[in-house]
Amino acid sequence: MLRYYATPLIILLAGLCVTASVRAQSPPVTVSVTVLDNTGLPLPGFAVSLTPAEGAAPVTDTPHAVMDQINRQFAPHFLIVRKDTQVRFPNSDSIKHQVYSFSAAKRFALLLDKDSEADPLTFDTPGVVELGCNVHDWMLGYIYVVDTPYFSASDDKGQSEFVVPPGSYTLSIYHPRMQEPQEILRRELTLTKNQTLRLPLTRALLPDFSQYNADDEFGQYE
Amino acid sequence: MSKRMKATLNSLRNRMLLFFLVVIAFVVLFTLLLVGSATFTHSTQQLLTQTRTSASVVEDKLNNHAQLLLRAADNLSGNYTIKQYIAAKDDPDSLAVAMRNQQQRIDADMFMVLDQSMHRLTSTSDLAPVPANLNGFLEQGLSWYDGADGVYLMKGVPVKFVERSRRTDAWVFLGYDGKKLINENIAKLTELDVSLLIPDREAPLLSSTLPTALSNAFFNLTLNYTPGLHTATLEDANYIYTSKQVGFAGSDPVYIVLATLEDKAYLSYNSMQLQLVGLLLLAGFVSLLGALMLSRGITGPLNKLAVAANSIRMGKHVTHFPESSTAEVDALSLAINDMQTGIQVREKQINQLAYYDDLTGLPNRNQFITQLEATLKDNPCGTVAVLMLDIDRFKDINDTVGHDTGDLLIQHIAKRLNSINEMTGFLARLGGDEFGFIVTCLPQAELESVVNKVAAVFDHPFNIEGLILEISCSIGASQHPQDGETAQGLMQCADIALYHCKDSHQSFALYSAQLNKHSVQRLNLMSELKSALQAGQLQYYYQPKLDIASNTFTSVECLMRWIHPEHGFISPDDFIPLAEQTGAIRNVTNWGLRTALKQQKAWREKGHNISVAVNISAVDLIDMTLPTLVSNLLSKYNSDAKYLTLEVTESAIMHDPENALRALNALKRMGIKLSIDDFGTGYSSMAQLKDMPVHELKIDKAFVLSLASSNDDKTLVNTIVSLAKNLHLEVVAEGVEDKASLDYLREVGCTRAQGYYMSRPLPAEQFDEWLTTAATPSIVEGAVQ
Repeated sequence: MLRYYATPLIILLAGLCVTASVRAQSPPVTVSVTVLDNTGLPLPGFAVSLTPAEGAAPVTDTPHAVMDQINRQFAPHFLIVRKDTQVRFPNSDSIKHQVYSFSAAKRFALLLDKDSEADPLTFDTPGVVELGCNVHDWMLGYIYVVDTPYFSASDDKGQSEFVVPPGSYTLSIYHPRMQEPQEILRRELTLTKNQTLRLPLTRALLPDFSQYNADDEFGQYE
Repeated sequence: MSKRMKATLNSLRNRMLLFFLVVIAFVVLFTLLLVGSATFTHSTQQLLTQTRTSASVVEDKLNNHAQLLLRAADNLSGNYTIKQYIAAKDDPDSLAVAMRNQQQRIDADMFMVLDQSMHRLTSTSDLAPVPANLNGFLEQGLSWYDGADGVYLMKGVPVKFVERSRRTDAWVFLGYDGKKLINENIAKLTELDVSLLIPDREAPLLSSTLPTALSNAFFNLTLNYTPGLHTATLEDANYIYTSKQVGFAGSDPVYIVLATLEDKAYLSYNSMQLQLVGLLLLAGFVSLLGALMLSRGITGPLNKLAVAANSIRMGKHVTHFPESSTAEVDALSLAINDMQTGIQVREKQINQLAYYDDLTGLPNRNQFITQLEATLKDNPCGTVAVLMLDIDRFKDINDTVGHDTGDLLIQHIAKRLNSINEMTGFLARLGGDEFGFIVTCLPQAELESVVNKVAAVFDHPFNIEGLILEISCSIGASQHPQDGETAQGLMQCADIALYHCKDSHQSFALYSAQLNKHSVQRLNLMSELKSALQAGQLQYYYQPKLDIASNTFTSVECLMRWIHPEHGFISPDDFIPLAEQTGAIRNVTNWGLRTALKQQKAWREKGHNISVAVNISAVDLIDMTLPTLVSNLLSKYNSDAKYLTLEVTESAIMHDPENALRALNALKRMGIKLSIDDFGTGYSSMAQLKDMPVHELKIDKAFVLSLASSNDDKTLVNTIVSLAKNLHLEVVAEGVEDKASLDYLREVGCTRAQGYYMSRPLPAEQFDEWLTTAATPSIVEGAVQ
């Protein structure tokens, strides 16, 4: 688990440094966002992002991320990346995979041979990219592309904390298990001081099958 | 007509036929009704089951199509290429081709692809509307899509680009045209006409296996869509239909309707009914045939039996009786056969009784006559003789030895006569002790020898159970042709000869015309006597009785005279015994009393009170009606009983003294004088005479006629008069013919005298004359003649 979050955290810290340098004239504010389910329990692993209204500054160096195939599953199941991130699709399994996406944010198809890695793909459109494997129907993965440096996955308490320059932002919350009226939950914010936000979902979550073992659940379809 | 009908119905055969017919008709009707109703119910039930099953079959068929569509759509939804085309959005033609390819694989009629936001990406028809609600199409079951060009059975599945995605990226739909779903195959499967329709629509019918015109008309009717069987009438034909809902098109329910012609539905029922009628008709025909044969088996022999019975009635002997398989008829046949035998046996017995004598077993009088008639008719030799044999004094023998022994004697005699019969001819017992022979072919000269032979039978005495009886017989004979032409005549002649034997104490007499004269006269007299009475041929002669003491005539004896127109005078001695034998005496006595009292009355009216004396016979005495008759006549002629004297012969009283006494006592009580006639010739005992209720005795003229010259007679008369006097009886002497006799009678004290000396018997007119002239004392002096 920790491993999945390691990369975004690094990115997040890097972003914070950049912002601080740009908006030096005003002291940054701290925004704490807690995502709760419709019963009030904290939801960990949810993508929370703050997108500046005037647009985020383009990335200066190309970030990288990895969507591995391990044990006939996407790993991680849910990957949050900033726009223009290059994502590698290694194959840790001993079999072939054909990973594809028909999502609008990124349409592609990759034949992943055993022990040979395809070229990384650049995810340059914000949005949700749903990943599947044409060989293994049960395989499902998500790459969530955000156009902002301020994004994180909520922690075990459902919290995400950002230190950002004051201004107008769009707070976006996304998770594949969400089934709110909108695919991505958005809220406009004007940040002038430190703020603590609690965002409860209105609907129950969809079932979680990120933990399903392919052998257990889908073995029969192999 | 009705009579004829009744006669027709009376025939056993027709009755049986009618009975069978009625029974069969009932059975047929009952069976038809019962089986018909049961079969109809069964047929209806079967039809209901069939339509239900058929509806289910059709529904299953539709469901199969839906399943096929679902599977095909599901298959499509997982197709990577299709997904690719859907996701690309910029190449609808490729998508359409790919979809059509899939569509053709399952022979579907339409397809449609909707994107994530339910916009049509591609479809068979560009005009195809997007259904408002997809749920129905996505689920299991039947769902109907209102396409641009018709209604389709359509199923669809969501398309997910990634199979396990939680979101739907598109929808693919495949469908079958409703029109094509209802086809001949389905009709064949169900054997019913199947229609698919949406009743709520303006044009409800989607498809039907019914002919177009018919189906249109059919579904223009308001049909009943509730479960069960319903009937609709169309073009003079009844249809039976049932319906089943098969999903919705939008919000309108879709139905399948299964219909069939009622006649077709009940075809098996109708044909079964026809078969049943045929079967029953056949059974009826066979039964009738059986009844006919059965009745023939009975009536045939019965008719033959009737013919046989008729033959028996006519005296024919029936040898062949009809046989029948029917036990009862057979029994009747046997019974009639037995009856015939019985009748023959009885006929024989009756014959025996009629023509044979029971006691001796000899032919009887009837057969004798028959045989004689037959012999006379054939007359082989020209001579036939009839012998009549009679046992002398058989009555006395019978009275002495008893009737049983008498019968035994007759049997013995019959046996002996029979033993000589062969020589003599036909032997018969004619009755009582009389036997008869018919002797044929015998010269007249030899007749005597035959008679002797017959008479010789009686030479030896008869031993009847130890009793030795000496028997003699009399035989009379007559001969054909000289004595008589007929059997009756010959027998009569023989009879006359036989009587002549008796009279003349001969044992044999051959008939001669001389014998006949007397006999025939006797026989004829009997038949003529009654008519003689009516014709006035009988009359009374009156002979006066002289009262000796007073020397006057106070009484007369009435003496009967028969002046026969042919034979002239017939003496009472000749016809009275015959009248006694035949019973005609009653009429004679009746006539006598009546005439005497009438005459007495006539005299009385002329001033002469004269007693009348009337002779009555022994038969009159025994006949107890005499006192009544006398009493009636006395009152009729208003006569005093004391002027009537009844004279009875001594032998008449002695014949049956007991009854005679009873009658005499009755008459005496009436005040009538009674006189014993011919006294002295009978065998009166003094003891009886003493008790006799009589007033006078009449001395028989045998003692009086020669009274004047015979001293013996004098003594006898004297004795009788003395006896009478002692018994206080009056005495009358008859046959007084001279003065000497009269004088003697006066001398001995006789009460009255009667005879030619006073007057001979005179007819009524002469007597009247005599009365006026001669009834004077001078008569007493001289003779009347």
